[in-house]
Amino acid sequence: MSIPRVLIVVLVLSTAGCTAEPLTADQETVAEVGEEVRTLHVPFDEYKLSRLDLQTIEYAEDLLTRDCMRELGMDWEMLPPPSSQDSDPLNRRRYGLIEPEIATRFGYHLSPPSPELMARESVWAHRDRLPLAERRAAYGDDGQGGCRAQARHHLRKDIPDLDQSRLYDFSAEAFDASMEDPEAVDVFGRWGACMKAEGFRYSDPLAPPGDPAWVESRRPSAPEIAVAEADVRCKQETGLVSAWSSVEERIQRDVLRSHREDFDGFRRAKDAELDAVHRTLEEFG
Amino acid sequence: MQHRLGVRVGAVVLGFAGLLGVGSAVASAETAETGIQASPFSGTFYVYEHDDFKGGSGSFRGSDRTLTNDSWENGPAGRIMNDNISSMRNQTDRDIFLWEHAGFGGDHYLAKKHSEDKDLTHNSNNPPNFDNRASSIQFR
Repeated sequence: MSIPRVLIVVLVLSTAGCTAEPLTADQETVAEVGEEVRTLHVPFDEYKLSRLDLQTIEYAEDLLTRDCMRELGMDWEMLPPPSSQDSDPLNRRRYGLIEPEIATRFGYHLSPPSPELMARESVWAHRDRLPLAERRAAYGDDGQGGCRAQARHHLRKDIPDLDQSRLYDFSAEAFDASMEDPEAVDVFGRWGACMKAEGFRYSDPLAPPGDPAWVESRRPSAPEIAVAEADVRCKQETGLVSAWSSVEERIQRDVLRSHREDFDGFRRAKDAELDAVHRTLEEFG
Repeated sequence: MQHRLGVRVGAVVLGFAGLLGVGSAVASAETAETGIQASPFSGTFYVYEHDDFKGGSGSFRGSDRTLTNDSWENGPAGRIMNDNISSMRNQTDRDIFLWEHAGFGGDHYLAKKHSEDKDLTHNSNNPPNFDNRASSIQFR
């Protein structure tokens, strides 16, 4: 039995309420993903697993786990099926905060979890409290085996033997290079001048979210929201996101051309995993 | 400052409800009220100061939007995890993102469930890659 969603909300809110001002009604409402975020893509995205991909993999693992558990005479509570739309795209804050609504309502803090995410979390929480026999069946004696491991191995068995983490090396290098590119440096300078005119000084567009004045705070403050709003406004006025994204796209395409074999491998690995997932969905879903 | 597991989990979830994974919040609330730690079957995410799982270590059972307040366990006093993680072991049943910036921003690294990476600099002639780069951790 899963933990009722309302209980989770009560626990979260009551815990927060012990030490700070209660959340405003506006801050309890989920913010929709901004339009600009929805259109934000970089070439390496094709080779990485998105959040929706990961949800789909988890769902297939759950189907296999449930089948395994049933053979042992036990049940398995499933995570919800994959969402139809990503409620928190991975590029959402790639170039810092870019959503005006988020800036005004939450500053650099995050929107509350979506109902879909809450439902998923309630299932994860439930799994922490399985009776011992079910835990052992699902996770093995050491937490690394059981039906869960069987399901993982089934889905991964056809993945080529290559180091997929290299993809993130390439990504990080390209991201660094993009920030040093003259075009990006130029637009960062114009963004910085805009921020200065608004009364704020930051070294680059990724610096404000980590400002010590609020990075550890529990909820957004008025000064934080003022900076966040100016930050987003200055990004819009200078065309920063479009310019930076174009620079990063160019750099990533150069990397793709010069490391074609590596990226072909990353694609094969991603395709193999997702193919196995879809076969599982067809068989068990 | 050293973190015990319960302290870290609590520290990251006590605030603004929208910041972090709700699962962590549930675990924290129960821990606070009953003293019961989350089941070991749900696993732990470990990070290390140096390659090959050496140096200071840190353990996570939920998301943390900034590592600026997290010091290494078993490590030099005063050294923080922020921009200082060089290897990791994900022994949880969940995929985990390491983010370059606080609040889950910038570029990211996917630490798949039940995986490890003994050298976040590996395969590169041009560090840092994701070595000494992570500033926030997100259980997805």
